[in-house]
Amino acid sequence: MIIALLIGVVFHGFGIFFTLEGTYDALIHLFFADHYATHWFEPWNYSWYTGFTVMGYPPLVHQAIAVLSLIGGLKFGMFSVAIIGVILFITGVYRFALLITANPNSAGYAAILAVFSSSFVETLHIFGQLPSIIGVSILMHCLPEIYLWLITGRKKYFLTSLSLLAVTVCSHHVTPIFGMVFFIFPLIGMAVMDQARSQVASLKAITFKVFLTAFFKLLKRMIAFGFTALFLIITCILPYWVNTKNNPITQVPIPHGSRDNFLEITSSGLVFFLIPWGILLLLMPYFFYRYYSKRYLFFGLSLTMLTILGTGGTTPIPKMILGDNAFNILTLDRFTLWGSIMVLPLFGEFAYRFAEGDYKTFLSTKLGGLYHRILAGFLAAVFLGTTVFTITLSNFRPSQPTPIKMLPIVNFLNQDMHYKWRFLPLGFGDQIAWLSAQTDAMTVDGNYHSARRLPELTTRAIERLENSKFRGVEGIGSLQQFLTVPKKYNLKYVFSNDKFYDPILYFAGWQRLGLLENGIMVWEKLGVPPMPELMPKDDIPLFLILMWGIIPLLTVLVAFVINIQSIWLRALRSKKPKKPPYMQWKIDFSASAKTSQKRSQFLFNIAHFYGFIVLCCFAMGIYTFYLKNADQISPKNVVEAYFDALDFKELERAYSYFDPQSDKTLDQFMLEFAVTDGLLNSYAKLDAIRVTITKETDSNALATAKASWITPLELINTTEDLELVKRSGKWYVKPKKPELDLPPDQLITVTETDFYNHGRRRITSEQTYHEDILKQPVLEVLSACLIKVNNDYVIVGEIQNVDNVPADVSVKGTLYDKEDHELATYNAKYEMKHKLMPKEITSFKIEFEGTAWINPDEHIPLTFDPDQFTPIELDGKPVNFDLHVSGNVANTDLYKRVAINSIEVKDDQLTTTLFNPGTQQATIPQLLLSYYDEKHQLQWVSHHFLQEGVRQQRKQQVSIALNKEETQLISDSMQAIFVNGLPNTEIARKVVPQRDVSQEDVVQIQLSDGGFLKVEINSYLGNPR
Amino acid sequence: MKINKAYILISGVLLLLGFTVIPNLQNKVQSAVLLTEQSEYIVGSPISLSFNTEAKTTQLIVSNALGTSVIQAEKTTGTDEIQFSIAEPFCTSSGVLNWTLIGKEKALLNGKLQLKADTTQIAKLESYLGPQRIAAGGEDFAQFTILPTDIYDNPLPDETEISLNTGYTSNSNVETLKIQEFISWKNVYSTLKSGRIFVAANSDTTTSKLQTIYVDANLATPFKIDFERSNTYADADQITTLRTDIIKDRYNNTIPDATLVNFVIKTNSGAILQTSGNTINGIAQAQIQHPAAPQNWTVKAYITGIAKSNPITIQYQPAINDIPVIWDATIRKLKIGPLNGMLGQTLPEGTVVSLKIKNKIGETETLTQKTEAGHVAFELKKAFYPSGSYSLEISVLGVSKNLESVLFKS
Repeated sequence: MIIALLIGVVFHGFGIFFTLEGTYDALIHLFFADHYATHWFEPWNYSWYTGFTVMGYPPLVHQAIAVLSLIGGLKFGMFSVAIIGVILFITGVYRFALLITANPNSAGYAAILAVFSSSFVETLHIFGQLPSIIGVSILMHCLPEIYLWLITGRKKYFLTSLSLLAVTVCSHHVTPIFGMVFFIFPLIGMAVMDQARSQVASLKAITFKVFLTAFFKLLKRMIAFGFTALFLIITCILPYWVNTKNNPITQVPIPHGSRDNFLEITSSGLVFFLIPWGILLLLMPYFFYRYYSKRYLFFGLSLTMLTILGTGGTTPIPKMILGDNAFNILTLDRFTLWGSIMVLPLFGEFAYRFAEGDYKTFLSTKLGGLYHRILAGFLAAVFLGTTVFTITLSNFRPSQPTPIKMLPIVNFLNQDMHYKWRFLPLGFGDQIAWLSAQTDAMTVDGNYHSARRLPELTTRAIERLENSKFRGVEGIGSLQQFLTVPKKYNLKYVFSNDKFYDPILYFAGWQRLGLLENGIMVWEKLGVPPMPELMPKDDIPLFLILMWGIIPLLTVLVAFVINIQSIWLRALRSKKPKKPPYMQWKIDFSASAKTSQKRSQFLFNIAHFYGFIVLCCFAMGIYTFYLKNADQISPKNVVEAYFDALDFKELERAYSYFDPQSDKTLDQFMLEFAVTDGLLNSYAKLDAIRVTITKETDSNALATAKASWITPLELINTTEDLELVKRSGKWYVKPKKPELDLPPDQLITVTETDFYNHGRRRITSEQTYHEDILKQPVLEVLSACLIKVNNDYVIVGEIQNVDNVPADVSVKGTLYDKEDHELATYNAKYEMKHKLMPKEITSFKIEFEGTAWINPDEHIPLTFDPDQFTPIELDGKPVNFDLHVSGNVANTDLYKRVAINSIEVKDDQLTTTLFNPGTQQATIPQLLLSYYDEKHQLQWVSHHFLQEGVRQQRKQQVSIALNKEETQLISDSMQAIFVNGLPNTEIARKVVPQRDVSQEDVVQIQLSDGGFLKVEINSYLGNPR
Repeated sequence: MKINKAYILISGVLLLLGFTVIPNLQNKVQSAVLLTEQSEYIVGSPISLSFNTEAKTTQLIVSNALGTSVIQAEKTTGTDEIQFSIAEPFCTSSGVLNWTLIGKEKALLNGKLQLKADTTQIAKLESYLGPQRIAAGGEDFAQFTILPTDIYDNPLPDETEISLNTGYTSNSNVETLKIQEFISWKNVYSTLKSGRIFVAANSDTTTSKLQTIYVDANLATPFKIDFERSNTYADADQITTLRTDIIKDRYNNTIPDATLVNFVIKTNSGAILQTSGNTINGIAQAQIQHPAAPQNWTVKAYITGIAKSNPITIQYQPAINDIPVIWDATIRKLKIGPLNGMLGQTLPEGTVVSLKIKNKIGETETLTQKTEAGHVAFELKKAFYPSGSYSLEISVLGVSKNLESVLFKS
């Protein structure tokens, strides 16, 4: 026991310093702890979402970290609590094992094994679920006390058991509820069984009748305990229950790996089944055999349930047991955790019997000492192997982005009052909690998804916006909504740790502010108002606030006093303490014990057979895994492997699939790859690939690969023909010829006007001086109309920057019905150039986007489509609209060099060549297509992103189908149009009084239907220089 | 017993009534007289109000636009005269100061004082200007607004004089402004020439910040364009530079830098090409690659809606004379090349060669390839083109060559 403690503290104490910060949950708990450390009695937290209540999670662990953080900082608090958790867990397992096995040796073994138990290691070092660990550890401490209360009926035990239970409740709410079902009920069963046993001579003599009498004898105590426990569960965290009732979880369930079918999604199977069970899987028959003996019968039932529930979506049974709702809210891995904890005492017992008890004797005599030693070595190796594998899992498959230095971000937020706006981190993983813990600035995102409140978030199965690219259309869709209408959320800064999101930001009208010293790109949206001084919050009654702040730590104090006091009293008493009643049920498993040889033989046969099957299954799994992943054994595999390598930018691997007899060198390939840039090359993720072999001989094959790529902006489908050859049993891809086009000039000279805005010229923390605030550029709306397209309402129009400085433009449109009731508001998203040079014109389109899948009966599409659009549902029929255009002085992203070098429209197919004469590489060029009728009236605006970029002095040909929509004009009244708050009509009259409107038409190409088409170019630069 | 209770009740009520009535009888009407005669003050000077009253405990409530306060009387011995001195901030804020004398929770007397700002001590001339940028020509203007205040931050009364200095290049102009309704303002009209107008206000004791009005050129007027190119061939390789002359407004000012000029090119085939440039010192430059076929271009440049240029035409001549072709019927290979330009040089790498294949029924198919060292080869496989007679048309940079009835052997 002492040894176990020492090993445990040393092992985990070292381990957590490397792993805990990288776990899923630990930093969230740290964030909560920070909240309590600064505002102990404040139930409302503004940092995440648009404010949420911290009463959504039991506070004990957070408050404990908060208290300890006063000594040595937040991380000190967290590590201390983690180490306390480890100690509690090991001692808890010891006491629980002692209760079950009644054998100090077995319990000692159990405690040592608990240190290395892979489920515990996983929960602590990978998931970082501190409250869960502390909850279950205290529950285990509580179990012997409950047993003693039931058997002896002494009030002291009643108090100790309840005090410990209260601590459990305050640290984790789910643990005591399910702990009641899975641990306490079987324990009561066992107590009753022991009571019955003490009345008859042997275990066999316990009949149902005897059991029933014993049951009724203990019933009073049971009821007393049961109701008090229930009372504790409710009152200790009453604010939590009140909060749950007031804010029921109405959100769409978030997919969790523990609900997957483990056979289909093997990675989930590994993390949520194989790793937590680990070596215990091999010993399953022993556990079931022991737990289904008469005394432990109820534990047996409970273990069976836990095992089945832990299998998640592999079988339909867990869903049937829990019901749809609970199934979708609970994470099922906790059942596996409890299951593996429940078998620990027996694992200890087995280890004892195997290492020095009767099994050793049996094996040594039957199969020889060598076999015993080999078997022992094998089991120990597997056991420690799983543990080491688990603790280092995050190194093999990082679940988090590499740790980000937060200090530059924190400093940025503190500088120049940047905290007055909300920010949004992208690609931070769970580290966003750590960032939030360090700054007072607020984000629209957050990391405790049960507390989300905005419908844009709750209607979608996304945990966070930050990692939205992993959530497909729902994620990107949500993110787009936040980025398109940032004013609504006072969202001004985005910290991007993943360049995947950069194109969305650019095309939604954001601009780069620069790289922080930790490599994080800061994006900024101009013209966003700061947050109001006063913000709304839910009102929570004072008594709940007080309960929340006082009760949890009080329970610890009470439990500490009561339990430690009893230990002291015991130690002070000079006479040898009486053994607790459960110790009398010890079974002799020592080396000299006379256990039935026959039964042992039978058991061992089963165990060997079972072990053999498990190992076979494992081997089979590895073999199929190999077959699926052997790259060059078939033409199909090699094409798939080649695309996979390209997808992950593993260029050397991709090159290894090339025909070795081709003359392409690795250097040449690397170079060719390096010079291509664009949406497909730099921002795409392979979603699916279908390879069809069109021709195949023994040594040659032709393959067509149809791939679909996810990009931040849209889904791209590509079709590529590849030639394959077989050389010495391996298939290879024949490399393609590189682009031959040569630019005419070696050195390009371009003169350009640059802009720089000082912000404030005097270094002061006072408000910016009046004369340092730049005048907003004057813009003029040349045309605007409300149109109806297939039941959707859309505003299209054109804007010119009539000022002499470059402008960053955002356009907000509002729809009104006949009674002038506001129906919907939205901003122009992709269909406009957000940055305009002086006198430049852009077309724009405002589509009114709703929150997707707000109705529960709408089905979320299974495949990804970033381009998906959810039209808003309007309460009335729009007849009128207004426009608010705002301009701010822009000084970045002003690259306008890309020219239209050739253009042809044939059969509604537009073929055009873009030429880039400038010095910057246009990474993602966008074509804005405006359609006009015969009278040059704007009818429709659409856009197209080019898959490949246009490099300097090079051209790019693109052929796209025109997609003009049939539109119906609803209103072209330009009365309610405002630019920077001033009426557009005034601006039109004053700034360019004698406008030559016909000049707008000269760039329009006549179409076959008599209408006209205008093509504009908007280029995103991936790496501006 | 019932009667007893009633008695107690009645006597109790009487007792209560008795106590409430008696003090009223003792009350006397108190009066007070203001002794101070001055009712107008300059801010910052000491103010004290004296009263003559028999009331024992008195207080003075003072209130102005900014707030209200209660002042305790200064003790004077023996007499009925009491004195209140009004301290900061009440004695330093200009405007009306209301006072009320209170004795035993009753207002005895009230009145008001006028406090005037100290016009001799103008401490600050807060100045605002907008818009910062105006257009040249004398019609556009910027408003310069001054908020003069004294040392106690009080606005100054009407008719107080402030002098306004306006500077443009080396000329300067001084005029006097009078304060009206606490502020003083002036519309500064733009000059005919672009440049900066500096504006500042002065008083005897202080000056305002210097404000700058940027006078930008007015709208552009029609301009001329020209072009420059390294050769005249339609080689889809070299670059033609289009350039405007210095674009000016009607007051002969050069238009502001970075104005976007859009060059619109109409080809003789009816296509409309675009390229754009930003002005620097009034000149915009834009570039476009030579076409891939001989063409005549008509170019006009626009500052859309505001000004346009004269049209110019640019002609591009064929970049090659001849397309050497060899058809190898046995391996069904069409070898094209060497493709040489006008100087006898190999055409640039990656020049597009297209091959149009037409079978007897008139079905056509177009294949394209890019040159490598001036050569290109098309392999026309049996699987796609059954044996028979085909007509082929090869085109390179708008020059084409026809091969009639080429026999594809089996």
